[in-house]
Amino acid sequence: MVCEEDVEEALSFLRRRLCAASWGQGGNDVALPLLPDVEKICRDLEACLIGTIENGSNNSVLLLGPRGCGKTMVTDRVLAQLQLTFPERVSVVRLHGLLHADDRCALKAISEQLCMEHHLVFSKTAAFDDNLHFLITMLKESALSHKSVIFILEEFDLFAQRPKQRLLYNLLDAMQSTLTQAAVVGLSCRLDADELLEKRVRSRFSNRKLLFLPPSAEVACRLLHDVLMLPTDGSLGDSTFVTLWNENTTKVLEASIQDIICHTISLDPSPHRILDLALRAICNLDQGKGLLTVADFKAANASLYPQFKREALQGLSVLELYLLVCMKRLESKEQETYNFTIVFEEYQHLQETHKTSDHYSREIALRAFEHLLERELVVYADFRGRSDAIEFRPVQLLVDNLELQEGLNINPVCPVCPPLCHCICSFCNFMHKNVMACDKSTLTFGLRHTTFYSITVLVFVASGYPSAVV
Amino acid sequence: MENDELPEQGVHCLDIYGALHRAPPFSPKKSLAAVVEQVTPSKSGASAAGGARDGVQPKASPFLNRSLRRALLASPARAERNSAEGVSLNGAESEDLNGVGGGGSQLKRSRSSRASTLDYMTQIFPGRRNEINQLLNLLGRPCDPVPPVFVYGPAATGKTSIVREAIRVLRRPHAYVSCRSSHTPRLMFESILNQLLGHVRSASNNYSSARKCERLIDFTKHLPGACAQALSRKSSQDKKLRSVRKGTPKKAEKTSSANVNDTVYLIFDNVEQSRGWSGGALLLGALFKLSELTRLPNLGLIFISSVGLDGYQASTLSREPLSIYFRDYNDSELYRILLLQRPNVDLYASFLSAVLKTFSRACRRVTELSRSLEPLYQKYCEPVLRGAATTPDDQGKRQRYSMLQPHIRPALSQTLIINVSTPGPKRNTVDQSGGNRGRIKTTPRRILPSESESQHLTFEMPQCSKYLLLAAYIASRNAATLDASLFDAGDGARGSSRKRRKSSSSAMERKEAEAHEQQMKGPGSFPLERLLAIFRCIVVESDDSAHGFGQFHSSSHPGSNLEEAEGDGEVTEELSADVLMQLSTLVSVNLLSKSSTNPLEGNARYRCNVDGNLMQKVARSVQFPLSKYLLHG
Repeated sequence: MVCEEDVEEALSFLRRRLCAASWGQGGNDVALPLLPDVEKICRDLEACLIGTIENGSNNSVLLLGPRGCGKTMVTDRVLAQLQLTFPERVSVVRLHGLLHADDRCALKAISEQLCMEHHLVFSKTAAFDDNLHFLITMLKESALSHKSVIFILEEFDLFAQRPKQRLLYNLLDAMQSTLTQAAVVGLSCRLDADELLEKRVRSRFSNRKLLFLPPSAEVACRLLHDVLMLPTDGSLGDSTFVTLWNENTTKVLEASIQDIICHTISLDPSPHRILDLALRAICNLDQGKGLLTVADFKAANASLYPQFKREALQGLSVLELYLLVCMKRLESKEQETYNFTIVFEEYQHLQETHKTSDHYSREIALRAFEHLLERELVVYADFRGRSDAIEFRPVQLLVDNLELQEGLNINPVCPVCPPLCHCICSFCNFMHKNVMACDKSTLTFGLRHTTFYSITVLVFVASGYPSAVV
Repeated sequence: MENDELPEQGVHCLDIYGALHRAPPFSPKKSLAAVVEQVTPSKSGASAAGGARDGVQPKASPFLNRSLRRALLASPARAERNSAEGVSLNGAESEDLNGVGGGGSQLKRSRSSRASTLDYMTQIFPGRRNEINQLLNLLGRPCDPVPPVFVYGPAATGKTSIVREAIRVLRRPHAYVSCRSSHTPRLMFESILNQLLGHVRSASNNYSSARKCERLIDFTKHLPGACAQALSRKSSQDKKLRSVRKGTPKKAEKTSSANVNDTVYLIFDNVEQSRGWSGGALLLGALFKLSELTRLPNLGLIFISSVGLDGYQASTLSREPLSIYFRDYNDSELYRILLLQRPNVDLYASFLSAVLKTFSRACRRVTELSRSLEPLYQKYCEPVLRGAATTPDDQGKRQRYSMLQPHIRPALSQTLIINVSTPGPKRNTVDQSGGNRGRIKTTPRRILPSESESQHLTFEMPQCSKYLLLAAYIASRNAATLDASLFDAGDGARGSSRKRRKSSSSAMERKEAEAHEQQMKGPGSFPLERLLAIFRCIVVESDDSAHGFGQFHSSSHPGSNLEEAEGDGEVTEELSADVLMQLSTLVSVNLLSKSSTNPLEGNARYRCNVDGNLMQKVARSVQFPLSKYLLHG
């Protein structure tokens, strides 16, 4: 019924579109329409930069927003647009906080890019001062020829974290002069990026900030829908398949919207997360059938939010589980630090009291302990030299009580009733006692620990002692 | 098939040749094959491989010869396995060769080749169908853009092998680098560029890299050119391959035109290692978004790690890549994996069904299991060697099991000690999951294996060192305040402690519990003076009891106690010169460790790293009553 060629073609198209939108890959031939909020920001930024180009007003703008909200994409689009409308009047210098690790390197990169733009010879050996001098001169020369220089600083916060902020100071200081015609656009995922600036730098910054907010749930759903639609303008050949695909996708999205898509959106509504969801769903697609199903989305959602600890606990051997439980028991005895020797003693104690068949020698237990370390369920609590023997280095457990309990439940090899579960039960009792003790003192016990504990405490309180809190 | 096999093997040899010269210092975890920087795409495979084989082998050094032999040993095994897999493999490879272009007319073919690739890979890697399927889905067709992929899972679950095998079978241009062997960013960058450019470091170019690449910024500058070159080499190689195989000429043209936008894959292995580097977090963040930084649309990034993304705090620097989890094998999968490559499958199967359940409760790592089951299997085979039936019936099975049972416990308790001196050929049997290279992954053992079965020391050291070690052990285990009561000849101290002991038993108990707790926390540290004093005491005492030995204290007076030894300057000096030599030797082999010293104070503190079992053996070898000197067991 469905021709495989069409499926292949459609998937390839969608994949290119998604990768281009979310990872900046695969060319720009399949650009997506912008979300309404982002569209507005786009226009603001464009207006600001046009002001620089046409009127010579030097601007500095910060684009702030969480990761995956499209800051880079917006900048790229605006720049492409500007370079179309004002050919030969814009030169762009791109810097990236991750790449241009220090101010010297950044200035070098600026000079290099300017040299490239103006067909000059770049000297690799130029010193910081030479490069700075060159930059100032270039800015003046460009202004004389009515050419604007736009600096794009990605990961702006990393530039601001350098000591003295020399680069930022010099750039923003150059903006103050009437002889230059330039703009600085900073991109950062830290919403307090401008707070990081020193006083002398901040006073030269124009304080113009454009804020990217994650889209609302409806907008996100619409985005997911739009992204998965195939174009009906005939660019993809067979139109019957295109309509079939589109109808089916709409149906599937409606069916899966409640549990899956809402789950994704409630966890992280940034557009890129939604694109990732779509991409994984497409990758899960069974090419024989050729149409998306609800199961594909379900699998995509599961793999998008892996539960690392849970996965790791699921694959542990019985002995490793025993060791984890022993550590938990030690913790419940309020023993803050423990090392392998102590854990092993606890393990032997457990074996003596419960008489199971899982009694292993110290060497094997140590080996299992090393496996736990490798999986990072347990980490060293000290940073002392590595020459110390493993058995004596203090360790910390990274698994939560609830996680451990769930892990014991889902682990296929975990012994069903015996000591392991018992231990956990005793631990729960311990929790109970603590709740009793602290219900008057405003739940400090729960607050002291991680969120999970506090949830447990609240649950206990809600079930057992409603009057104490309410 | 002939044509297929030849370049493949050539690459293998070439790899090893290259590895010998280029091998950066690497940890013993991965053997030779892991260090190998694969020459990709293997254009040089066809031409240079022959050269490597003909030219190198005769004049090769013994080391080279050996590794070559190992490579040749490994590849027949592989060929055998391939032929055992029979039709499906042949189908997969040849189909795949045709389907490289992925042009419109070949869509059907490429899909079926994908399915057969999946089948082929699941046959080599049992129990990994789901993971392989996910991986192949994300990789897509050669021209598809690929989002960054993060492959993670516990050790010995086939992450690296599957990723590399998939890329190899799909014949994609790629570079593989492991953060374990390329242990600085520079080595990593240069290795990638070398592989993409097809540059081999050798004596003729003075082992230099193709590009000098100190920092990430240089790397991003060089990378686009290198990718383009890798693609062009790949396309020319494909063309050559086609003409050799007399394939349809039309396809070749199509392929070369399609190749320009193909994806080039960079595989980063053992990424978790990079967290320990200086600036490692920044580097990793930058690598995750490498395609954005370099503005290369056709860059496929694959990260392999034994730690999940939660161990990285990656989201602070970049967006999280898409992850694939390789879960642990369950019992039935372990069974199938361990059965692979066994000459006598039936016998081994009956053996496994008897013991695997017991072993897998303690350890579920394939590499360790197969290694620890080996000696037990030898025992199991004994009746067969004596001439019993090869595959036992039910009755025989039970009989065998009852015969085997007494050995299981001891085998279990020493399972995990990996014997380094096992002869080479056995290694091939170890890594069934590891696929083509026959490599083992072993973590280095600690230096102090305590072998429970032998009563004697497995290594010899000077008498003086033994006493020094004993003294260090005593100093580590006992509190410094106890020294006087232990070593002082006068009765005054002992008497007073006895008196105190009478005073309250509950306080004593508490004290004992505290001391026990202290004991559990590990060996204590002690200054050099204390060590030397105790050393003097025990040497003198043992000298009293046993027949005299000792070049190193010949001049000391018999019966001299602590105070005297300290007082006698001349003797101490003479003693120190010899003993301090031994001491520094012990420190350098990590039996003792020297803690960081306060530069103002100047006196180092030492700690004894030897565990109790080994210490007992040392004490026994010099007939020293160690337990007499230890307050707590």
